[in-house]
Amino acid sequence: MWGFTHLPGASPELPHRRHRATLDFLSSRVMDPPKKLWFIKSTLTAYEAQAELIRRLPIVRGIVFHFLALESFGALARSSNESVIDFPKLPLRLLYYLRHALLAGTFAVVGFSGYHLYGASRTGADWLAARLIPTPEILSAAGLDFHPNRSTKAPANVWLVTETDTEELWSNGLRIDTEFTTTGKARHYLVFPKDGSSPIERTGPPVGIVYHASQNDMAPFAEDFSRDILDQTRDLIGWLKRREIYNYMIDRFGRVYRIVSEESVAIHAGESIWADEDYFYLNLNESFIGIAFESQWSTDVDLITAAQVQAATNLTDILRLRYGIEDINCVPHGLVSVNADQKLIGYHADWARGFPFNALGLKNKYETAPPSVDAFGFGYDDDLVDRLGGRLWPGVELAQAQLAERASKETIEPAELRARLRAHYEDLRDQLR
Amino acid sequence: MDSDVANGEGRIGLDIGTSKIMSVRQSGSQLKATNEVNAFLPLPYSKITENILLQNKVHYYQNNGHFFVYGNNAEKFAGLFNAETRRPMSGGLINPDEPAALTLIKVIIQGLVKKPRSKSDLVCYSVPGAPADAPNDLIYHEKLLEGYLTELGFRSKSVNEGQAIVFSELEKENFTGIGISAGGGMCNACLSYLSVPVISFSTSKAGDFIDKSVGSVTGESATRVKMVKEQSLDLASSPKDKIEEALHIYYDEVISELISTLNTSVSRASSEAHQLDRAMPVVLAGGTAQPNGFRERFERALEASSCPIPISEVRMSPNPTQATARGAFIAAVYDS
Ligand SMILES: Nc1ncnc2c1ncn2[C@@H]1O[C@H](COP(=O)(O)OP(=O)(O)OP(=O)(O)O)[C@@H](O)[C@H]1O
Ligand SMILES: [Mg+2]
Ligand SMILES: [Zn+2]
Repeated sequence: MWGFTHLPGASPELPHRRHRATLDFLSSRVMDPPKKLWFIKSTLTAYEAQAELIRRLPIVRGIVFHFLALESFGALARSSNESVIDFPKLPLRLLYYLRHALLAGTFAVVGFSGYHLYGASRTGADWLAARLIPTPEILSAAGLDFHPNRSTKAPANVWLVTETDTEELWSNGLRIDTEFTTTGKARHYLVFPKDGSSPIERTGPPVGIVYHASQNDMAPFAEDFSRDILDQTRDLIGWLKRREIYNYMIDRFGRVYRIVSEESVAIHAGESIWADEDYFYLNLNESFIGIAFESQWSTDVDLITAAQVQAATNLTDILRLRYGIEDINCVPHGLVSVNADQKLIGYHADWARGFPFNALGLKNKYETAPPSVDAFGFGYDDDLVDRLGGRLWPGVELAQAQLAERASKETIEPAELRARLRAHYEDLRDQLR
Repeated sequence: MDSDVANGEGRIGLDIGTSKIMSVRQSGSQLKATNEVNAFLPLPYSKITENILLQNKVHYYQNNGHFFVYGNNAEKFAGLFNAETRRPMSGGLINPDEPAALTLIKVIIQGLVKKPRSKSDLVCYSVPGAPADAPNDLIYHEKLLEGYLTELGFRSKSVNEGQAIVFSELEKENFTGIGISAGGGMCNACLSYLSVPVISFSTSKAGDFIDKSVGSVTGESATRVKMVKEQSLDLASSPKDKIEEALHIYYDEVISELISTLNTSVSRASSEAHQLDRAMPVVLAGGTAQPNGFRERFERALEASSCPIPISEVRMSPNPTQATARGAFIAAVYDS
């Protein structure tokens, strides 16, 4: 997940982002500037004129918004000649975007009561979407289990077969697109021995991998949207390259792009904490490689493609082999990201749920006690619990239990122990400056 | 929806700028732009002067023992009569210190919009962003213009100049992106999302600032600096003399002021409610953006700054001097 996602208070209210995508989609079909402007404005104005209650109810507002957009679009279509609206590609895509509205209509006819409408249209909408858009390639990451019996050791034998100016081919089939690669600052970082001895300075290879979700705008994964999908990826690559974000990005067709060269530091992990058997690692940009899936991670949609999982598996194998990266140091961003000032975990939460460890030949780190909690006494707030759909990963509980046990052995309150651990963290953090 | 939205009959876009006023209207299937320099030339009354003006069929306005030649003719005759032109506007707004401003701007506007053909004819005119230090000046400016247009028999509405750039240049992006007009009196910018203006701002360092500053450090007149700037400046190659060197320096100053204002406005206006789900394009327009190399300089400076929003590209308007008026025209047409 990259930094900035929020923008300014606009005076005429903008609808929720998912509905804005509909508006964006429909207006892209209008070929005449003033008409396009008319369409957008009249939809927004009509929406703004709705009672505030309607605009606040999640599903209802979606239905109303789609309905109003459709009305404006219809008015425009009726009053325009053919050249103004680009119809050919419309039906399938239109149906997709309007599925909530269509459902509302259906349910209105059937006569569901309000509460049922809410629940039913939600599942119903997904059901309808699934039928409208064939998505055989999309898998829910949580359900992935490609190589159930794979060992968590990196394979012993993968090599670079051949390379050109723009591509590398690896013996496990992975192609790495190097056309957009940029170099940044060389790696140079401190690692903190767990035995308390003084930190060790390293300039060498990365010690681990942090996995991310790019969280950019994403069109549905279907043939009709090919153009949009490619455009979005291209925009994303340009942005990542300019900002030196992530070392690798994997698009939805499983193509792997090297963005920032492996020897250089990419921006990706921000304030973060991890540890292996011997060392603590703080702020992992410098010491860990960042790999992003082009995906929208959230608690209710965690969709990545089979091609992405395959590519991530191959890439992980290559990196682990090349740098001797241990399994323990391959973790998703959500498990390492912290708010250091407030001593809270899960500042960025990408992949704090549903990461396909198994498919990638990695041990499930959701079961591992995060060192942020275990060793440095970090906590979490309700907001994180909310963002993760009501439950944190089991490792957090484990870490808290371990901490409580240590406190009782030392016969002090857990809070006191936590305070001491946090102070220790501050010490280490100071040494980074 | 009104059926006459289909065409631009009776709709006019008007760019009321510090250095020029431009109208855009529909003519057949084309758009037609007409342009008057926003300046006038006061000439003391004399029979000879009157004869020259009459022979040349020059429109003028007479008051207080003076002829006032205005618009493009003002520049044309300034040399002939060896007199200095004056301007009704400064810094993007009607100049309160110029006594002749009100009348002359009205005369120039009238020459461009002509007479309405029906009561529903609509003029959409551009206004700058409110100056941070004197927001009320904009209200005065806007009300005066609205008053003139009403007097002339038009319905009218105003559009922010940056937003007008978004309307004319970012149609493909469904009016999402940042429009910037770098003009004479000021630079205006607007960040819009699906046509909704989210942030708009203006800076007072623009073309006139460059002319004046370069003039004062090189000892040249602003008029001469302006000539060099408009005719031979190339920001992509290294400066060849003192004037060019100073032009490069003050161009950088204009750009850096624009970018730092953009960055602070964006960070200041941050709220959870408006997630930006894609990178935004920036479009550059206006007379000051015209020299070769301007776009590249701007892009480099923007990349080097810590702009908090993702930018997909920085592109130049294909028609930098007409972009505002065309955008105002689109705003006039869509409004049924
Ligand atoms: N080719 C050129 N190269 C450099 N500068 C130019 C060129 N042509 C015009 N300019 C400058 O552009 C400015 C005028 O731009 P423009 O016509 O966009 O401004 P305006 O709309 O009248 O003013 P504003 O919008 O600030 O009120 C003047 O400073 C002029 O010197
Ligand atoms: Mg202007
Ligand atoms: Zn992330």
